[in-house]
Amino acid sequence: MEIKIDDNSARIIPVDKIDVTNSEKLKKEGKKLIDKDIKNLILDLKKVNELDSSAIGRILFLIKITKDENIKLIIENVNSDYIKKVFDMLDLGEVVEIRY
Amino acid sequence: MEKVDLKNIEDSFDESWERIINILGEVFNTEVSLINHVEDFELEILKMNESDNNLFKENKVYDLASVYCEKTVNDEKMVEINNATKTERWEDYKAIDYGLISYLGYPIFNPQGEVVGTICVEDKKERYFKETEKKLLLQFKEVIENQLRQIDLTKKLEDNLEKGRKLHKHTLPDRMPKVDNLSFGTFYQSADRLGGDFYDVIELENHLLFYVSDVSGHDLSSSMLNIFLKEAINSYLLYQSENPDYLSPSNIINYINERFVNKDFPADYFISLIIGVISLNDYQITISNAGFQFFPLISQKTGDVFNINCKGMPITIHNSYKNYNECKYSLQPEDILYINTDGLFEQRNKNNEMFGEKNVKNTISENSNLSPKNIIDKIYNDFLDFKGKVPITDDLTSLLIKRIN
Repeated sequence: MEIKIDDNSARIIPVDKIDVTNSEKLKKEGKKLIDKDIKNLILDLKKVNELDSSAIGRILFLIKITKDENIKLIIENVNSDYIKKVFDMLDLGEVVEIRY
Repeated sequence: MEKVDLKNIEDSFDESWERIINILGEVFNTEVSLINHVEDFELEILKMNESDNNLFKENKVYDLASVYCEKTVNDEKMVEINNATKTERWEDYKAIDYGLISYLGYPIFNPQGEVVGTICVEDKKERYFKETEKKLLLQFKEVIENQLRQIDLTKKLEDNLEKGRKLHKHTLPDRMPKVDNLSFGTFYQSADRLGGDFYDVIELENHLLFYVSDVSGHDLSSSMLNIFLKEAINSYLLYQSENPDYLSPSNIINYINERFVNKDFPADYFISLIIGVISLNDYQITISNAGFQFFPLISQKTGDVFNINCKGMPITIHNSYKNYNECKYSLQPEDILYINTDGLFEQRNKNNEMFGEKNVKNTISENSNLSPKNIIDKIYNDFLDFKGKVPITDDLTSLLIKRIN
């Protein structure tokens, strides 16, 4: 999982998949980043092609903690068709900005 | 519950015990250092240093009454023997014949407070063991006792989870309602951990309410969520019956969602739910979907299979979401409604392919004339063939409702 911070944005770039084996890390990194002085938190999924329901839970968690700190959460680069489908089915776009 | 002893944990901590024995050898410089299992007046050496002595060998069993450790076991505390030849007490002990005349040992207790073994060193010279040497041996004894505690706790936890699994299975409905013109099929199998899926069919006046749920987590949190869900639905049915929109699935979801937010659950908890109502007058189904990635299916007499395209967010603490669609479908004679949780579709085989919706649709299409129970058997046989030896990764749950006439 890569983390990039510049200006007033932070970017989390998970690699390969987000599932029970590493989704806890996503939560931890998110918690650390919202303490920094940033306006945007970007979850960059360009390297991710698989996620499971624990990943959904972590994304929901990120939505909450960013909302509490007035930080904008954006999900970017959803390249995987499978993940696109999952997000669409869950209507995730109604509660977080997703940029395909 | 089984009591834990050193033989139970031997395999798990083999390397750790190797290191302990080696450090004892380096620091004490005694002829032998041993970790022993004690049971029923016998002592078995589980771990030993490399030594030229001919008396002690790993995995050999000794009469407890013939070794110094007997006193350690009986007294249940540290025993130090400086020179066994100087007292009559040790006359009959084999160790003296083999030249081992000094000893320092501690009993090892399991979490239940019983002596299950000893850790000791024995030497060919007279020894007056230093305080630091005694402290070191005491530390190692405590390391091993912590290992016993760890395995004991793990076992207790697994036993608890197993109880939870069985209990969860028991909370599923024993039988489906007896309703004219409708027949049901159900299937539930949890993956190897605490189950998260649930289903129910509830008879109301002129209607049936049915739902299938899949909660987040596969541990105690999922049990809590299932209890919450059941309670929320029961509460809705009891207290909201005056509401003209009583039997609206999207209303029920909103009600559950509000309660969910009020309970202050952690932000990563959520509930996926498909909930629907069937009228027993005209068999019209009204369904809402909160978070299921695989839509309900309908199969018809002709073998056609299609989705009921109804989507929505799972139940989460982000309750700003109120947009649950209601999809309606009139169940025709011989039509079957299928609701499955994602475990069935997302199962992978050894080539990492997913079982997928297509496979399920094909099986249904080819067998839509069978009874719901037989169709379920077919689906799950295909599923087992597909996955081979790969373990089941998520709960399998299916609810089928067929209109007969």
